[in-house]
Amino acid sequence: MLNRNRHPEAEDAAEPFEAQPQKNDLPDADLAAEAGRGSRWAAEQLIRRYQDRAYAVAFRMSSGDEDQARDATQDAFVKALGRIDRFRGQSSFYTWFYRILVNTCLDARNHKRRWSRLFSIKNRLLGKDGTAASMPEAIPDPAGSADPMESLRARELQRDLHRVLERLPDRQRTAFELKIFEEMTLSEIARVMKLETGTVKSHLFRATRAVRTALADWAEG
Amino acid sequence: MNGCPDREKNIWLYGLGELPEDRRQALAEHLTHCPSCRAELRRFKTVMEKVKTAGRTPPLPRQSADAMTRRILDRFDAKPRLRGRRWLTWPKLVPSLAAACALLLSVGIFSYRALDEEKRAPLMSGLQKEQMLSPEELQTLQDQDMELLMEFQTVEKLVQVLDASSSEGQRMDNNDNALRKRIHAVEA
Repeated sequence: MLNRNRHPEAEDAAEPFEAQPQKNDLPDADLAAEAGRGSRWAAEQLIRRYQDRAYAVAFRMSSGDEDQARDATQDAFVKALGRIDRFRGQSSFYTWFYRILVNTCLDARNHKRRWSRLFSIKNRLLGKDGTAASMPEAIPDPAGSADPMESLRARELQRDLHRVLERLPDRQRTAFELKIFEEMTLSEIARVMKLETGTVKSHLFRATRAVRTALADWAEG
Repeated sequence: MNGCPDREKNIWLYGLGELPEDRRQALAEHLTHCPSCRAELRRFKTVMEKVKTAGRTPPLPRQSADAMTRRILDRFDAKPRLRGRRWLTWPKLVPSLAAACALLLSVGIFSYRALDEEKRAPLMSGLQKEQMLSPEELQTLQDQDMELLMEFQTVEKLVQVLDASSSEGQRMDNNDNALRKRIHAVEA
């Protein structure tokens, strides 16, 4: 546990090599408590610990929009650290932070959806085709293969998955993404989404059925 | 296959590792002798593996990560007063609530007393009322009183005339009765 009398920042100068690895192993709750008392070092440790995973969640929830994912990740950290003193340690920091992150991403997605609807109306009024679904370009080649056929099939699968996820209601999609990509348990997802476990199970089942049906052709091999 | 109840739901939850323990064991037992359900589980796992691969995300470039961290920490440093203490805590909330209750109570008492005074207002003397009136209102009241007095005088005169005529009529009736008694006596 963290020694409350010795502030980690005060140790930095004296023990740069030995103290650092120990401090990096501090539990989230201790880092959160230190950040709540204003420790910049503890706040930075929390950011470094979850930044990549948070960005991955935001990237998927932003449908591959890198800028939106970066903004949402940053906003979520700013919100979380701004109210870190409210974190009571009743749930894990990871669950608490993910709730903020998911809500931030949902807000950003809804905001973007409203704007795209507005532009779609504008494009239709101007006689342009506003109906073509945009496939994010930033998503990497999932196969990572030199075989062009394999790479092409991987792209097709990505497009099919993108389409089906875009059509899912927010809650179903979030439950599905947290389960499949973040490998959270139902109870963790329930805490993140502030829903009953049974409700999450229902959302997950519906999303799974939609994905399974849409990707039926990909079931073999 | 058709005889398997809730086949899809159970197999999918099993594949996701979310089937409750009792049903998980029962399904594992079922899968050993149901090739159709085994095939569905295999297909489901294949699809989900492909979904995971397709959903892979690019890593956040280190430079972007560092820049983002700096921006977040700058914002963290910019709000030192909001961190470390909550402005709305129970020890602060209780006196505030008590003060609000006291204020409401005082307003209530004053309102009640004001209402009570309004009810008692008819008991005030005429003089008190006149003292509360403005000179214009007082003049109006006096004018109205004069008119009222004149009306009372008119009514009084009418009553007197009526009284006089009724007493005259009664006297004439009495004379008629006396005359009739006398005639009866003479005839008898």
